[in-house]
Amino acid sequence: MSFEKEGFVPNPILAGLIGICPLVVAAKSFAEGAAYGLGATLCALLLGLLIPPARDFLPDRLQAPASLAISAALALIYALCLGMYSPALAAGLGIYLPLLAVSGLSLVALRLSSFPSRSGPDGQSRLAVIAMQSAWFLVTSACVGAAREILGLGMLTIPTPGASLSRIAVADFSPLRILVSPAGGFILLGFLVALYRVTLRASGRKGL
Amino acid sequence: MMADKREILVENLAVAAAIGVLVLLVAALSFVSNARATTQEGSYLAAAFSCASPQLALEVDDPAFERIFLLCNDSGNLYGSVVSLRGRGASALVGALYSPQGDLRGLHIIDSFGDSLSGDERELVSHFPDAERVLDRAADSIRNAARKGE
Repeated sequence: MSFEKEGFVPNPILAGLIGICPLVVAAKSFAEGAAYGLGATLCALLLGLLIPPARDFLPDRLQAPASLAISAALALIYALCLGMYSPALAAGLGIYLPLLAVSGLSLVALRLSSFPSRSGPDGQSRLAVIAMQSAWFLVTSACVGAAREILGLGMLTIPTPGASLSRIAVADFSPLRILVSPAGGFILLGFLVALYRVTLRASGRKGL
Repeated sequence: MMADKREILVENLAVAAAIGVLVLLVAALSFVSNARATTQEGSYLAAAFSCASPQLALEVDDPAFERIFLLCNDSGNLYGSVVSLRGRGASALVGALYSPQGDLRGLHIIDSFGDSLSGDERELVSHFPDAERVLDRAADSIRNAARKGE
């Protein structure tokens, strides 16, 4: 892993393709992308805090089911809180909210498996690396949602509390309506992944 | 050998107890969330259809709607529900008003993403392919709620 040598944390979505299905299907606006990214970030950070101490006293055979149970509980708690904050946002993300358990667990498992000790060779703690990776996830999902919404519908949805979400009209026309559909989400993500890999290659770094 | 088995049993029970505590926490939050959602949905329907004090009539296990409310206005007893619709690149939260016989009396768009919608049934059906089926299921649930309320 390149981050172990040079402190570089690759983008988990663009380099590792983690959590892309909910991202291209459900996160079709800035509000949904930010809400999904925030959920994955909070789940990953809490899992990063809870799983390493649990590993110290849990036997190997119980570590995987316990991690899964904690991850699923955190995803459910986030989904319930989001439903209380904004029912429209929770309804928009729908069945993809429970999938946060998988995204959060993937972000943590990826780091724990490549980072067996409490801190890496460059002195970064495991939690700091998980936090950086989660921040990448949050920023990327919010940006992908915003790009799809602005280019697809010419508007930007703000995640405000209450019955309906606030929307700002950015343009009078919808230049690329297809971007709001799942197919358009995959196309946009494909371009972003290509751009990210070209940038990484140019700077001599490797992804995941 | 016996001591090993006892140790494994104690470990398993300890983990099961910890997961049980987690489940209780989620259940408690779910209870609070459900109570809040009931109040919120009732207030959306009351505001949308000018009905005072909506009462929860039935809780439903449907992916598109969860609660049926009894609403009273000038035209007598009516039933309402907040329905979630999803289509290709569009989603909407819609308040639906029904007669006790399950006839649709009105639709009110609470929030919509994609296109601006007026609340016309034909427009909703053209935007959301499953809207007709969802509204039919809501009508069935309302007939059940009305039968139970009699």
